[in-house]
Amino acid sequence: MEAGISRSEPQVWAVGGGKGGVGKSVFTVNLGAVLVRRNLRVAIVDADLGGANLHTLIGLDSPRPTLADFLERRITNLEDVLLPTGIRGLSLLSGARAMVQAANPKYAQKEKILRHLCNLPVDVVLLDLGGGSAFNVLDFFIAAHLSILVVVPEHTSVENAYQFLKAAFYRKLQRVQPRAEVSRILKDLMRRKTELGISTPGDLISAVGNFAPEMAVKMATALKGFKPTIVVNRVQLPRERDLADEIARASTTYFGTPVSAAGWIDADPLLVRSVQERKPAVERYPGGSFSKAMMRIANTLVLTTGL
Amino acid sequence: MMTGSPDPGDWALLGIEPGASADEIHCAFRKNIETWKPGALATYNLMEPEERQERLAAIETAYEHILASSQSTEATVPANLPTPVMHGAGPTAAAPDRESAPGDYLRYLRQRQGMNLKDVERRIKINHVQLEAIEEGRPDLLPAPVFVRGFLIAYAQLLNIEDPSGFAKAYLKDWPQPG
Ligand SMILES: Nc1ncnc2c1ncn2[C@@H]1O[C@H](COP(=O)(O)OP(=O)(O)OP(=O)(O)O)[C@@H](O)[C@H]1O
Ligand SMILES: [Mg+2]
Repeated sequence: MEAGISRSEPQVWAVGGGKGGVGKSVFTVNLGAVLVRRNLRVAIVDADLGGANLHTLIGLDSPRPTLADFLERRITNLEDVLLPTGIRGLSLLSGARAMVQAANPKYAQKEKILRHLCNLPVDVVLLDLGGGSAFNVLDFFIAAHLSILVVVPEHTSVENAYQFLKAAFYRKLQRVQPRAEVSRILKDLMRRKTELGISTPGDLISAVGNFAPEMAVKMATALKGFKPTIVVNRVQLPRERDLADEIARASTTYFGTPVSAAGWIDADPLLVRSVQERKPAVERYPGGSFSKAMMRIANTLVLTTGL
Repeated sequence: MMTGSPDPGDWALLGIEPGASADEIHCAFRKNIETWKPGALATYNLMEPEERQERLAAIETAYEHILASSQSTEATVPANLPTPVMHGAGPTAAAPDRESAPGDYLRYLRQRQGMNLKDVERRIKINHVQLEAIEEGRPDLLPAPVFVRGFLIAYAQLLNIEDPSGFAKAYLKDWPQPG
């Protein structure tokens, strides 16, 4: 596949975590820097409006223009907001100085951003989402071709990851048409979820199927298009290497829809140093364990998405 | 031949394809227990404790069904090999009691079937050191009971003991609980 000269729409990969500080931003920057070596054109997008810092990780101080210029209509073409990063093939859509209102765009605005992202002249768009599971994060996460969930081996992070996945599944179902009716039915069922024994999206769809089989089919189809994959970052103990597989296995059987594992990344002081030096670790310390893990994971992701 | 064959749900529960090798079956069981055992980081706060217990029980049952069916299709060790020479007990020694001395009972049956611990290790993929600890009833040398129960089911199944999960449950009756 001649990815470098393909004219097809880019794949959008979203990076979420349901929790702050797990490494979403360093993962995004370094994944981008690895993917360009495959002759792919990559845009990293700071979708963490309000907490943007991708520019800092890549060594840019006060990037201009930014997504704020697009959202506030000073620039009409999203392509014109793309900034070079100094790494060949890698560009940045900075979210720096995005206004507070912009940090919580309306659904229509998010659809507009997504539409424009899909017209960027690149092969892959990497979205660095903020922490938490607010709608602005979830909506990008569920709309992406690939949804990457970064987790660290701590109880709070695992707990947040499941909350995030549950919220994402639910939001995905909520977006099924006709929305008003779907939303009314879902609300009603969720209110009675204990009584009806609903604890997973699968249960919810079966419950819908009891009185609205066509809607249940649509919901099942919507869930099928949602493919989350788990990355465990900051691994310190050998047994933590299995965590991504275990979370994927548990999610697949518990939620009744496939969740995959993309791999694990060591806790690596060289990564911390690269952050201080404001250069991607894969560029500064390609032999370090963080960098090696990023290459392994990029490989896995390229294979699973058929990029 | 195919009596007692597991239903597709059993394989799905362990996350393996029907017809997976013995190796894959044992490995999948262990990975599933690791994932769902109480206190597992991987499933922290994913579900209520009762739901977790139900799931663990379902995994065990699936494992047992699958093992039972793969035993019936695999060539089993003939049960009536010439009695090997045993340490301590003469060939005419009576069988130890299944209830009161389950570890001795396992050893007795194994030796009667002409297998050493390494043979069993090869068959059911449980380390011979752990197998010995099971025969000697040494909780201090073994992992949590949720795992040991699976080991016991596999071992009992191999030795053609009736009702492997009942045997496993009885064996672990007085076992110290973790934590
Ligand atoms: N593999 C790792 N090894 C060592 N340190 C790491 C690793 N991953 C992340 N860190 C540390 O965690 C810090 C936070 O990472 P990062 O900014 O990517 O998190 P984030 O999830 O984007 O946070 P936020 O939710 O605030 O946007 C890094 O600056 C680094 O110090
Ligand atoms: Mg960040």
